[in-house]
Amino acid sequence: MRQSINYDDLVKPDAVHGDVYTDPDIFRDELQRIYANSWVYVGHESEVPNAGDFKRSTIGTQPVILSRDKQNKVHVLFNRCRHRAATVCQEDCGNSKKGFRCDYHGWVYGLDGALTIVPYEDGYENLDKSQLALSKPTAVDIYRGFVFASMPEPKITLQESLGAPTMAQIDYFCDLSPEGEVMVQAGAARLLYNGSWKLQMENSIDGYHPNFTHQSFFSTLTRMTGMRLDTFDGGSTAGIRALGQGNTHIDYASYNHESPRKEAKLNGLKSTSWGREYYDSMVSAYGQERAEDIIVVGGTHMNVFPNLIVLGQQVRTIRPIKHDKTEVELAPVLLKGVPDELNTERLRQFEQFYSPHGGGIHDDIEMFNRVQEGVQCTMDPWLIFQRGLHREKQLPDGTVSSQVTDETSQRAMWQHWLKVMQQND
Amino acid sequence: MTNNNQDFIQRTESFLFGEARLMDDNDYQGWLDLWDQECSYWIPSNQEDYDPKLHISILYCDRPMLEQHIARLLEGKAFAQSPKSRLMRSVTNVMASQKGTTIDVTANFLVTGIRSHQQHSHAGRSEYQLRECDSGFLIQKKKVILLALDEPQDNVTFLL
Repeated sequence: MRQSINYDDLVKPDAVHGDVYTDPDIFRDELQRIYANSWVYVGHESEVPNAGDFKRSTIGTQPVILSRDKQNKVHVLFNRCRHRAATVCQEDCGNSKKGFRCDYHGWVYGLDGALTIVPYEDGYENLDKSQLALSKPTAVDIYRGFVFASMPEPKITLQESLGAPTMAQIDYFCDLSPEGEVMVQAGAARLLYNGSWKLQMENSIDGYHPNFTHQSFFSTLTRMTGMRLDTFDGGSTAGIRALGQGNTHIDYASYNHESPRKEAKLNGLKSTSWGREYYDSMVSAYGQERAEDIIVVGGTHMNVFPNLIVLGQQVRTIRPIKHDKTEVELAPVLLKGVPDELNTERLRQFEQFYSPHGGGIHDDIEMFNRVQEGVQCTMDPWLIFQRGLHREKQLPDGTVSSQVTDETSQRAMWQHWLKVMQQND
Repeated sequence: MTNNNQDFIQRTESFLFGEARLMDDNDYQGWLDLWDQECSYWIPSNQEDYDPKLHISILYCDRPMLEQHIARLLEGKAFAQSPKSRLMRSVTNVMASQKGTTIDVTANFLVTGIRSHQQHSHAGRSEYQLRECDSGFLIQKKKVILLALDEPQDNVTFLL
């Protein structure tokens, strides 16, 4: 029996011990206490739009299937035959009229997981097929198409777990469509790196690194536009926010609303016929004030603990594999009910930064690999997360806010991580 | 039509081998000089063929975007290529046909790279449309179909 880990010794208010990235026992606890014990993002409803559609996903390292049955109900099923545990679904995604057949001994399950066929069934004395459906998480719930699952009976509802500030951000992302729907149907970029999954979570809401890690991308932008982007400067009016429950947000709202940025964005959009068409459809859907706010704010940039990132044009899913190996799936969304030109423009923007051959994400991945190597040095094991601790403020809605380069977001993530990890199995 | 003229095949292969060497040497500017002023460069993602307007690509660019892509790499601050990958690739299975000054070529490649003491291999097939001009060939279109186009990618930020 290994000794249990005292998590209090690993996370301070302003620092994190290097072991949290390197210790396989901590990773094992994370799978149990975080991924197998709370609401986890599994996929988006639009990835299985039609009856019979399915997509493989994971809860932590456990393979699951997101499926839609003939009654149009969405299910999350563990991808494990109840007989001898082989996976019953091999394809990453597809459509199946009959459900899932285990190729090992021919057991067949419906799209809702029900066990329908057991070959040579008379060889069993008392086999109750109704008790042998594919296992399911105890709870599945959906917010704006985002499907979450909880393996045990959840202590709080999905809506409580997300919280109002987080749901408001998901709304900003989805409401960029005049029909309020995003479609995760434009393919996905998948990346693999040799580092802890928490490095990706820390990084995606890190407003301090862009001017350094991504300086080659920003100088490209400057060459193309003749203007230097100052969003991530030390004096920028962009913000960073802790939304509660370990969820975090880079807040561009007030920055984007400043003159002349706001006017430039709206006028730029209205200068093309398809942009004008989009603007008008947004105004008729939401009214002018809210429509312009949605367009100017331009979606969101947030983490939902532990494994969902909603950012710019994309939905990003974290898949932990080992303590030092992580897969990240980046799926850009199409906005429903908008001119094709807008969706195409958003895809090209995505590729410029986020594709595996693009100008941004691989410089992040490079840093994750470097951290995972550097953190092997244990003389001074603490990573410092104290930036802006003296100047962050609690807002009336309960969120904590600070300047965009501050580490308010990582601190909030780590404090939530600590709270969850202190629970016993 | 397929042209079996030995000289034509040799000149086409020689162009591809030269391009491969520039890519292996991380000679970004030399490689950019192989491209025509009007050009398109496409590395599909997830599947070999689709409408890029409604599906993402690993790379999808025209000449101005290609120039920016190269300028970014030349700057030395693209950390995923700093330090650069050491690369060697083989180009094989070359098939080419000519119609006027336009040449359609397909070729397979296998590139092995070493970076941060890790060795990686990437296989793929490239489809080119070349234009013959006084100085030789220029690339008008290139589509790179990676064998692992639907797999999680490690560092593929070198020239393909």
